[in-house]
Amino acid sequence: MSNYRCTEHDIYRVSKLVDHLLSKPAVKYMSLITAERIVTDLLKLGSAELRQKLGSEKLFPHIPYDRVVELISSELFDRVKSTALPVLYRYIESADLTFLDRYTSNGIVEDEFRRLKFHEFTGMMFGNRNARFSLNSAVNIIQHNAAVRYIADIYRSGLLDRRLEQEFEKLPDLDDYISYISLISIARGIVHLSFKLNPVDPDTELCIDDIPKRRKNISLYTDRLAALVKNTLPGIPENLIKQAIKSNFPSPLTGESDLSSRLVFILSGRFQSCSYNDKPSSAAVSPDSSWFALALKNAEFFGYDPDILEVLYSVAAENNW
Amino acid sequence: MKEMKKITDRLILAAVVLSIVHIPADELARFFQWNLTTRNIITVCGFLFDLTFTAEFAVRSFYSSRNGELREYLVFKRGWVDFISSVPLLILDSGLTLVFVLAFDSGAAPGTPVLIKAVYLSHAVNLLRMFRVVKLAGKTVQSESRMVQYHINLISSIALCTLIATLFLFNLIAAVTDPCRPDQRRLKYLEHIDGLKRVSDMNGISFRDTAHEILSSDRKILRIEYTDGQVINRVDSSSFKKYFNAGDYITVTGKGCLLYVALTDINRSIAVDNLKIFIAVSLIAAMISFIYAGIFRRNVSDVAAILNLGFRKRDYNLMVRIPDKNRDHEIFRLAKFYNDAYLPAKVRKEALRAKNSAGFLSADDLDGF
Repeated sequence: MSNYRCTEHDIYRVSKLVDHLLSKPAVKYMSLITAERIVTDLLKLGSAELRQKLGSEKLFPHIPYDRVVELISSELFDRVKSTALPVLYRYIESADLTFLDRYTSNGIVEDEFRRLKFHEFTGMMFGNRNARFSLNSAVNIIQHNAAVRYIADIYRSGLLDRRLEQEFEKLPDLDDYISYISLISIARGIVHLSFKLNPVDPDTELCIDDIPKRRKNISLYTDRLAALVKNTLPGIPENLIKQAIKSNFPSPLTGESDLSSRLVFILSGRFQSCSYNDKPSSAAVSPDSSWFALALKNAEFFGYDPDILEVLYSVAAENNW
Repeated sequence: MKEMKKITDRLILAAVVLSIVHIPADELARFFQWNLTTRNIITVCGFLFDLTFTAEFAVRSFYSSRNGELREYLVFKRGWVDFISSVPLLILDSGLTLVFVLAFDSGAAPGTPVLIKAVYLSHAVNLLRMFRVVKLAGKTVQSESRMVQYHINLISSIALCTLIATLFLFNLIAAVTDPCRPDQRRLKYLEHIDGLKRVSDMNGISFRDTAHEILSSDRKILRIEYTDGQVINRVDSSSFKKYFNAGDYITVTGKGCLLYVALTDINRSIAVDNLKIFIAVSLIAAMISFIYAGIFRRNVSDVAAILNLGFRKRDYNLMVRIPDKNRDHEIFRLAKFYNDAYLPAKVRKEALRAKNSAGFLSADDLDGF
């Protein structure tokens, strides 16, 4: 890392360069988190042409390349942090999570304390680049009220009641389940953080990318990671953490009773990049209906649960979402 | 320059709209026989509109000709509509009417047979004014799609031009071949007066004593001037001056008297005919612009636009809505292939690409900063 001390003018120019890059058609309509990932990937690639252009007289001839990358990344992170993180924090602060006590075996936890810990946990995840990218879907789910809209209609239709009972023994209250799904969609980014999970090799830190995509390995990884994370999240049921971890894996790698993780896996796919900004013409199928219909055709490829997709598609089509 | 063109186009559009509003206003003025001041204002407005559109046509022709695009303007860019809805109207309708108004205004002199004939010919020409609805329909298609604009313009031009041209032709033939209705009326009254004169002569009674009862009960007769100097006015002279111009009555000079006979009923029936045509033309234009344009958009242009976006834009994955009743249309068969095969494959391919986000931006995107 370079020790170059940049001036206010440098910072101003970097900010303008970021504006310029974010206005490019390829990223213009993407969420800031996705755009951040694309720009930082470009910088990470560091092609000769890019280095030459950034070091040219017109841009930053006096700043070393690494320092320019650092400045741009930091500018992008600040922007993402100031737009996306408050959405998640606001949700955590406003949600009533007392119902979670019914699903934990550790007794009652003060709701304020539980939310404070979840708040810190979210902030920690947000610091990790891949986890942050994963949180993009949670931000969209919350911003677009997706959990509220879809779960309310799923409950109304009763189409997934049997499977919900399979997971919870008893059908949870609607509001509780909406919060449950929202929390899973936030917490699922945990898999991108590395932890010492292997007792055989205690010094090695593992994240999702290091886990072979086999049912047995994933089950073990889920159990160990959930047991570890559980301690940092008092009052959050272990099953919720497990569902959050499993929601990163295709359906064939999870159990039939893991309805919540499978549902979040699909919703996260849908809301990872959602452009409700495009006003579709009347000849187009609505954005959500299109996405779920295509996902159904590709269910096997992506590992989506087709039964859940059918229900989500029917809800979206009925409401023209 | 572009800004100037935009402003001019907007002004022309406003003038087209106002000139279309002017059409029923003109007919209503004729039907209700509004006072002469109002009718003269309407006539002058009509003249100014015709003058404006003639100038527009001249300027567009000049610039098109300078760019070697005169034929394209006249044939493909509705130059012919601009021509038909301006030059003949300026010369044969509003110009003529204005001369008529300026020369024989305020009841000072009745319409001479030649002028009356010319004015009634101009009623036929007046129908060409309906082409402004075609002009407006071409300018107000509410769609950014060039395809919609082109097809709606084309179909509205074909439908409206066929209707207007047919009616115009019938009116023109009638104006040239049929006896002029005011002339017929003049003849009828002439025969009437002559008949009365014969009766009075046979009975040895004065013409006035014989004819007065009969003539004064005729509501079409506005004024009778007997040869013995007596004048009978059905309308007082101030109202006559206020409401009657040379096109509203004829004079019939017979043996024994001079009659001023109103043409109000004939003018009313012309106004009603013209209003009917105006309403029919406007409704056809509105139906095509709003109803058919919507159907065309939903079934053709929007579908093509979705397919175009889906084929070209990597992040555009909306499916096409396929109506059951139209699923065998070629475009929807293509859309079905797009929905069922192309889009799912594209989504799979994009998912694989998205794992590595490089490629969305490149060093070239720094250019221009």
